[in-house]
Amino acid sequence: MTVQLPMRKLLAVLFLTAFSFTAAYAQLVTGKIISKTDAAGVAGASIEVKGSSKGASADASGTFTINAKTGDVLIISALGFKQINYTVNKTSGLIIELETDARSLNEVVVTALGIKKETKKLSYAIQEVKTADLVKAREPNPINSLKGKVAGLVVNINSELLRQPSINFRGQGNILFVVDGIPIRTDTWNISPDDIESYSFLKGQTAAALYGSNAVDGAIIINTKKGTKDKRGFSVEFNSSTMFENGFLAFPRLQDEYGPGSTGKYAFKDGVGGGVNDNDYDIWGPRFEGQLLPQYDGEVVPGQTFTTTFRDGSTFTGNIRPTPWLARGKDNLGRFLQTGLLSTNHISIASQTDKYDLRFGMGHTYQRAIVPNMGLNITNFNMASGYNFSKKVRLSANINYSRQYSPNFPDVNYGPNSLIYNVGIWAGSDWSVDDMKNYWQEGKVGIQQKYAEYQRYNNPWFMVKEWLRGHYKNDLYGYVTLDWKFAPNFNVMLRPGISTYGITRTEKMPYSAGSYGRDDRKGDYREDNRNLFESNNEVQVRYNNKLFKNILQLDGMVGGNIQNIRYNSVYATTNYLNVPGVYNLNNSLLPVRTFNWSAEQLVLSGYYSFDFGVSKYLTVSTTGRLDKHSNLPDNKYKQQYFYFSTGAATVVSDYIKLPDVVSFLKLKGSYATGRNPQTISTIGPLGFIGGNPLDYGDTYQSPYGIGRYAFAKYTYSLGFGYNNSVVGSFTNRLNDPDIAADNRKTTEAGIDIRFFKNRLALDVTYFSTLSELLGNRSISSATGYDQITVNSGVTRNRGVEAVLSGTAIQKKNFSWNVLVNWSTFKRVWVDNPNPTPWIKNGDRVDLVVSPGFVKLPDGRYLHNTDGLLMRMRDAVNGGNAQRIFGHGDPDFVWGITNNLRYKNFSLAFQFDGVVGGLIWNQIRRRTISGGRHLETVQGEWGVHRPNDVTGGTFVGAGVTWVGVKPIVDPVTGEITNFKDLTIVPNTKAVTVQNYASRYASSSERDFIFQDRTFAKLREVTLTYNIPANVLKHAKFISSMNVSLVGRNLILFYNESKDVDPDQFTQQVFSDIQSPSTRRYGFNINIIF
Amino acid sequence: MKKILQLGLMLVLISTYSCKKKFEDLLTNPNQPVSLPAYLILGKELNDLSGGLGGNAPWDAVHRYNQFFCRNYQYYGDNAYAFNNGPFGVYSNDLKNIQQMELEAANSGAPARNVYSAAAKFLKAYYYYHITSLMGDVPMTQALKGLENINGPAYDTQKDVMLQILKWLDEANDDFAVLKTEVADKNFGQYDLFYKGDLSKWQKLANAFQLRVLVSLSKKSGDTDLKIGQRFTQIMGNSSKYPLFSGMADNFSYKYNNDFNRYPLNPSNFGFDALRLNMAETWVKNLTTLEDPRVFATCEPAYKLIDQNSWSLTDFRAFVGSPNGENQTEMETKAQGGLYSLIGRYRYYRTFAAEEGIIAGYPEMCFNIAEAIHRGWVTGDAEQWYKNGIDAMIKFYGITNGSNTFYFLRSGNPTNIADYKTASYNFNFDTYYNQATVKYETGLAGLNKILLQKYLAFFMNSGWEAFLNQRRTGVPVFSVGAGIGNGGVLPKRWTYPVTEQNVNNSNWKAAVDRQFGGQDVVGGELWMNK
Repeated sequence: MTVQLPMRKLLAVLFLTAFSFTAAYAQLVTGKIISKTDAAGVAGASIEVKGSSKGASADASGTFTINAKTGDVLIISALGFKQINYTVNKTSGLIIELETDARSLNEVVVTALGIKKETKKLSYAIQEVKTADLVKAREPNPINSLKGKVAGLVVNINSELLRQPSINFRGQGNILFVVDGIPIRTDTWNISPDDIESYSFLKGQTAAALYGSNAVDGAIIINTKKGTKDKRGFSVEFNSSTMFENGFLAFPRLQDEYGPGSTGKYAFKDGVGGGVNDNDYDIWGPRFEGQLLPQYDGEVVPGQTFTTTFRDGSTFTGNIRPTPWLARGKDNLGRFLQTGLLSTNHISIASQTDKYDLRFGMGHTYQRAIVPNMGLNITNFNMASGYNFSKKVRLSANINYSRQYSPNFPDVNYGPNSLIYNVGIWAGSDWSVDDMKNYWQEGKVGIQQKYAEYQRYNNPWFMVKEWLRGHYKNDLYGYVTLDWKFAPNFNVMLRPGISTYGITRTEKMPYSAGSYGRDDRKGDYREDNRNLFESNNEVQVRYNNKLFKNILQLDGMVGGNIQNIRYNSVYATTNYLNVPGVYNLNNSLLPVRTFNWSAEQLVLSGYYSFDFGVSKYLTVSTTGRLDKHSNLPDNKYKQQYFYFSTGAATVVSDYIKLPDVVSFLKLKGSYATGRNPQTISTIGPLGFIGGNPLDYGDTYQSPYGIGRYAFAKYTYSLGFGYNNSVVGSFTNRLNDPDIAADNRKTTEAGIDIRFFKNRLALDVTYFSTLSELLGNRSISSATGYDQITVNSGVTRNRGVEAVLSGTAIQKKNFSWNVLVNWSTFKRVWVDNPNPTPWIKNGDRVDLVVSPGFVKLPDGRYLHNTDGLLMRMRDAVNGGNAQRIFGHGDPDFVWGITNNLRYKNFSLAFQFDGVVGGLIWNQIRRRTISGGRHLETVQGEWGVHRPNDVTGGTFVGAGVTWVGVKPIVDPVTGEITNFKDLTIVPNTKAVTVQNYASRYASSSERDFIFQDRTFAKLREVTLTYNIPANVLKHAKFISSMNVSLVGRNLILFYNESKDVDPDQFTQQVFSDIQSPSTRRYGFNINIIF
Repeated sequence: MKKILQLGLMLVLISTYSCKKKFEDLLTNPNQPVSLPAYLILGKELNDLSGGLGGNAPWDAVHRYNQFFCRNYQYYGDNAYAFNNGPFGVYSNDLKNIQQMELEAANSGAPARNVYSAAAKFLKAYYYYHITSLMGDVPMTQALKGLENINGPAYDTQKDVMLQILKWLDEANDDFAVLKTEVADKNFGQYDLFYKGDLSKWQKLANAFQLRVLVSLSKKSGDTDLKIGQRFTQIMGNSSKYPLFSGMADNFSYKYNNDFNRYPLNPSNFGFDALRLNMAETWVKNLTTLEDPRVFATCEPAYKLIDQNSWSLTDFRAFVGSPNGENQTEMETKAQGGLYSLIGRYRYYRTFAAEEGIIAGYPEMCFNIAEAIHRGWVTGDAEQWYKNGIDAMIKFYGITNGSNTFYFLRSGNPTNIADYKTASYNFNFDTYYNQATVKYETGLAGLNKILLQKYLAFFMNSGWEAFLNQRRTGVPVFSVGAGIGNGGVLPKRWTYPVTEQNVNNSNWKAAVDRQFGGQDVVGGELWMNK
């Protein structure tokens, strides 16, 4: 990148001019403003001489100089402190103490680009969370801790090791992470909450309007810890947390009554189809009754044959001696899993003087998975420092390094690569997990696993001990900031920052392991290497002043940013191995397959922000940003787009006398646009050439933020043809040459009202976002192309967020604070670019539409002549019919946090949950159709299941027809000739296996969609602060507390009992999932 | 103020310094080519012929619709004729790339008549023949113009499409006739997985394929534009201008191999579905009625019947297929109980390359000629062509005069030859042929024999031909019932893709109105079959 050169020049110029300015003003009065509570300097405090227009502000250490004389009254004000009047009694060495203002304690927040503002001046929704609460009852991924704490923030917690949560604001997920003003590319695993002071949540366009396109749906601002406020000038803090994971919250409900097989029959011969249903089986086999059957561990008697006769009269003859068929493996899954552990230790050393501030933090997290032989280590190092060259020039820097490493982490995705698939869904209890520990076959160590089946599935112990997936990632971000107050009321800031990661993922697939598409079972080795480097070089000039006798306050800023991202990845895999157990690409049996992708992006931005304060009546804000973005085509818009915001806030209670009960009333309103040129937030292993390089497993997505060259010249993609030859095919997607970045327009209005001297506060925000999309629209394939990327499609998203906070009790020794978050939104199509007969304009975006079973007008389900539930496609004209089952987004999301304090004890606990929306329960569907779910042995199914072996005696309760066939509407699947039908009771007997399999069909989802509503006791923290008089004896300890902590303790009202819906808070289709656990333990925090 | 100006200037400086050139560079995707040699597209298109078209490969969906086999296991699907959302993907995945191949060849300086454009003419004829036969009218003259105009194209009538297909095939014949005398394009040869660049075979293919198209239009034999009979006579009457397949070696067939292009059924997937698929009654019963030993080569006996009756493994009575229309619960119970014939393990599961996948073959051509002679379109010896077709197909299964050994696997590993039981069967072609059920005769009965033997020759090959011929002639009788879906009625066509209703509505509606009285349904009768 060529911009470094002018950057360096610029710095030099700035340094030179900085020193030429130093002696520009007379020093009549000097002093320092400090906080009464901790004696720390109050940076940026404003000083005015009463009755004059003279003013000044304090530097970072609180020191100030002002032109005044003895006897003058100084008005000192600072964010978060009570304003005071101070009479000058000497000209130097003044020490002015400010008292913190309880009322406005939380009222300074960090807004876009790291600018601190008073909340009362904000015209849009921002919410803040202090991390002090988040480092005790911990989550492996820090973002999970935020669930339920912020109105409008949805976190889909993924509890699988090393999986990242998905995050949405107002239903949308294009969210930027920013550290002290610098954007970072993060998968959230490299964020260390111990080094974070607070998070600010910029929800939606208005708050994030100053950030680039990566923040169109909002931004999460991370404010790091810096220096110390300790009076001694230094402090050492140690925090240690140990938590255990066990006790299941959600666990698949499985039956241990029937074993593997089909129509009640099973006999083992070779596990690959040589026996009777001994391969790729479902769990529809014989009941465990001690009957003799050939089994996987039976004695092979060469030359002797044993004949097994099944109840339908069919026989099987083999040379394995039959043994009793018993449920040897009851609760195999539960017995296989172990207690997990999450241990975090963090130490930080901080120091501060007038000249500099410094903080080092170092932490380590170890997570032992509930699955044996799997775990994750994260080591984090953070350093923040600041140096005050003079009262006008400050240089600060922050660097964060994180290393995540795991020699073995799970692949949970549906398939034989997943433990849950192997043990939870597609295995019977005919074998015991304890017998699987010696997983190599005798004489075939390293070559052939031992299991009860060899076609589809894998031995669980073999999987966790031999099939190893490694993850090694370095994450680094950092910035340097130079602040220079180069003229009265002006300062300039230079801020170069970088964010970079390098990751290597490996997979060692042993000989004899099987997965989808790797049926030869000859092992494999894979490596996935990715590197991303992002730099942001930013310049800002800020101006603030009070004009016209303080009636108008102006805060202005003009800035520019150069963003450059470079990404490169190589994915390579063997195509089976020559030598078993040698995991090297050179050991490939067939030619190695490699895929690489590289991309670069440049964005130049200029922006401004102005806040006008009109006395105490009104604050009006406006921002604007112009981007030139290399992902856009060079059309009439010249790769550029502009977006802006404007808003106003007024604190009514400041100028109108309100009833005494109301202590504060603020009204706010804003309008903003946000734009995105189709950058992609994450990228998979192959870039955008294709999806998953394999036929199975996880498609790991890492942070990206670049476009996919969607608007570049049309290209061919290369693939493999006959006999591994390279072949090409031309794009199937066109571009509209006139495309522009997409555009989201948000109108927001809100009220912030507080009662009873601020003891009860309610902050409500209403928003309405109109999104004019840039996306793919279907076109007739007969054009030769399936889609065109074009500015088309408009959605509207309306919703409300409310935050209620209150102090229920406030006594000397006892207090109780409550915080309630609530949010809702609804997205509809204003203009659907790909309308279907089910989802048209005006309909919800998240409608869940799917084929279904045929229903009579009275709601009863109709059976087909084959005795099974009749699908729409079984009826005349029903081939394309679908039913609307509901919607995917929750009706609303809520969270309640309580903080109680009694003397030296404090107790915090949180409930949160979701109401409404549909969830498709994958585990239940698979286990019902596969015969493993508990429901398949209960009720009428349980009564008739034993008879499946002789053709089935189950008769589905309900009706069928005789004579005239049902005709359905080709769109809705509703019967159109009902009056011609003769409806009679269903009497056709079928197997439970076929009935249940149809009931839990993959496409007809009537019985698999469930209500998502659930609630959790998310967190409990009981802390004891060791009293100061006790600590006096321990010389070096200045404060200490110990806590008992717990997370995810109780899951309430969960209709989808087999899964924990936490992961699918805003997602309809669930994947399979490891059983979710409670986590509890203790935390110690010591400050030396 | 001066300072602010300075800073402002500096900002401008940075912006311009980061320069226009940089932005231009970033407009190009460094990972993919914007142009490539025509043979790389040829490689894709020829390889694609092994599948596509809604499931065209051996043991794919199409062969359930052809009633050669059934699924008995609900978890992995059923036997319904899912003819919704017709295969318009052919346009974007294949026809568009074929057009690009012609374009890339021309851009690289190839003369107007070149081997890629000649192959393209055949490929276009191949795909348009299929999509019009499956759906009816389809876009053609206005199709594939996405780069010029994304609006949905109008549909051409089926007759116009057929006329264009015949024109392309004539041109392909002419082109290959010239090109085969010129210096060969080595790259074409390397990527020609069918004929290794032997253009004389491509020429035969173009003509044999034209015979298929002509026969498919038998109901339009009186049409004065199509001139079915005249064209047939022209091709048959001039073998130097219109060379045809002379035997199985000329077949346009996909060769499967061990590593990269495996036969769809093979030892590595035996355990997945060998028990969940069983043979269909339409295939099995027509063979056993004719005492045709192909049933031994392709099927296992129903072992329960062997046990109960102590029949030999090559007793025709022991071979039973399930009707495709049967209720799947019953089908599964019977299959599990050993009452149905499973897929022949020896032929299909023992290796990774069971048999070649014929896309257009010699036997079919023989039957097409026999039918044309029988119908009086052209003069010739219908019986001889009929016999040639039967003979070639029986030999395809390795069945010869004399004692033939067949292998059956009741349980065990299909790659382990020791697990097989063998049985021998004496075959004599003349004895077989002289059966009253087989021997050629005149009149409708004779035609039906040709059509039945043609159906038997399509087992696991030639994609849609078995279904399309049955639809045209009613031979053989297909099983119907709840199991085939659509209320138990055989569909006559695929509906157009639903997206056409949304994105190309007026053209779609015009086509549906003129053909099917406004109803885009599977029961609509096509022009070619009226």
